[in-house]
Amino acid sequence: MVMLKLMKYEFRKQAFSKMVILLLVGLIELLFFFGIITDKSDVMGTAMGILTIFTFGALFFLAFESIITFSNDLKQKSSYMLFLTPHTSYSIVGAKVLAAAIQITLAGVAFFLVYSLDIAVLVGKYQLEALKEIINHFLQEVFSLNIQFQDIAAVVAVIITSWISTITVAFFSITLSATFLANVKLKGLVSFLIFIALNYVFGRIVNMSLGKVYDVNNFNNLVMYYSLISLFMLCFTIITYIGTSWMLDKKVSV
Amino acid sequence: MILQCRDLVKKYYSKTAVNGISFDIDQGKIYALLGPNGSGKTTFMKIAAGLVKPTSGTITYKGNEIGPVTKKRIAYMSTEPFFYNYMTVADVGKYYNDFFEDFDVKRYEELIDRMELNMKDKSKTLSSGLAAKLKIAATLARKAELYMLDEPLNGIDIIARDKIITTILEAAKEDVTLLISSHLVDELEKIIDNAIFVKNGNIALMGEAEDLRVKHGKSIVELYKEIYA
Repeated sequence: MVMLKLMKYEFRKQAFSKMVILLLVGLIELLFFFGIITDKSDVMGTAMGILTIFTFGALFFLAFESIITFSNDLKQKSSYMLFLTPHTSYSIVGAKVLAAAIQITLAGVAFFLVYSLDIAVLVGKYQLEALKEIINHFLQEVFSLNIQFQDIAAVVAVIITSWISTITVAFFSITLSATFLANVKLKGLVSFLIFIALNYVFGRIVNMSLGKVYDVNNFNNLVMYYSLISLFMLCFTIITYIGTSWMLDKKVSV
Repeated sequence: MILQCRDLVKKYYSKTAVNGISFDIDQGKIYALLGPNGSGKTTFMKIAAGLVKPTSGTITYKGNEIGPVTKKRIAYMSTEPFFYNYMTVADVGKYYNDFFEDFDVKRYEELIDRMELNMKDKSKTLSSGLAAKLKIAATLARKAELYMLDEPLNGIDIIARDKIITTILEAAKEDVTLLISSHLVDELEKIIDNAIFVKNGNIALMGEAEDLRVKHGKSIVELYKEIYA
C-alpha cells in the first residue's frame, strides 16, 4: 500500500512526458492513416519511418527520465516532499524501480500494439502477400514450436531486466556522487564513469560466467541462456537497489 | 524531554554548519531558535527532520533515532518552497493526506480559506507570500507532536503576520511542542517560552525566555542584538 502511494506520485511526476509521447504517436498515426486513405505510399512509409525512430527515442527517453527524476529528487528542494514522508529509503527506491519497470514495460506493450494495428491495416487494405507471408510464417514458427513462446519471453525478459539493471546502476552511481563523492571535484563525471565501469564489470561477469558454459549458436540453449542472463541482471538490480537504499538511509543529505 | 541532541556536528566540505551542540527540547513549549543566516538553525532543523544526516553526534525523538517513526510525529516546514511544480494547492493537500496519518483535511481546507488561497492555484505560480502561506497551511494541518517551522514569517507582509502567528498559536497545545526559527525576533518575543541563540554552529545562549530576561535585565530582542552585533 505504501509502495503504491509512492509509485502513484512517481507516475504523476513523469506524466507530462507520457502525454507528449502519446500526442506525438497520435500525430504520427494520423499521418499514417492519411496515407492509407489517400493511397499515398510515400506518406505511409514516412509515417512508419518516423514511428520506428520515435519508438527507440521514446523508450530510451523513458529510462532516462526515471534516472533524471531520481537525480532531481536528490538535488532539488522538492526532494523534501519525498524524504519528509515517513517511509524507509528501501520503500522509496523500491517504488522508483518498480515505477520505472512498469513504465518501460507498458510503453513497450503500447508500441507493440500500435505496430500491430498499423500492420493489420496495411495487410487488410492492400492484401500485401509478402507481408502476410512473413507474418504467417512467423506465427507458424511460433505455433509449430519452431520458435516457442518461452524463447520470445526469455528475450523480452532479458531486454526488460537489462533496462531495469541499467536504471538501478544509474541510481547507485548518482547516490554515490551525493554521498561518498559529495566532496570530490567533478563528482558528476566521476559518478558517470562509475556507471560505465559498473555496467562493464556486470557485463564481464555475465560473459565470463555463461560464455564458457553455453554455446549461444546452439538454439536449444537459448531459453536457459537468456533466463540465466535475466537472473544475473536481477541480481545486479537487487545489489544496486540495496546499495542505493543503504546510502540514502545512512549518508544522503538533501 | 522529547528531542535530545548530543555533540551534534554537521560539516559541509570544509564548513562546519553545526559544531557539537547539545540540548534538549521539552514537551508542550514554544521554542525560538534564533540566529542570523548561516548560524546553523536550518541545518539543525533539517537534521531533526531527517533530511540531513549528521557528521557525528546523536539526535533522538522520544528515544527513537530520526527516521520513519519520528517523521510520523514531527512536522517540518522548510524556509524554501518545496512543493512539486505540477502541484495545485489541492494536490498538496492530497499528497499530505496520502502520506501523513495525522493530516486533517478539514483543517487544511479551513487554513487554505483563511490564507485566501485557491485550491486550483498552481504552487509554482504563487507569489512568495502565498507560497509561504501554503507551506504553513500544509504543515499546520497535521496534528503533529512537534512542529518545526523554519522562518515561517519569511515573505509574509506585515499585515498578514498576525494572522500567521495566530494560526501557529492555535497549534500550540499542552502536549504539542513548537520550534520556530526566525530573525524577526520581536515578532517571536511575545509568544515564546524558551529561546535558543545559535552562533556559528554553537549554542551561544539558551534558557527560558523569562529567566533570560530577568537574569540579563534585557529583552530577547536586546539579547539578540548583543549576541550578534
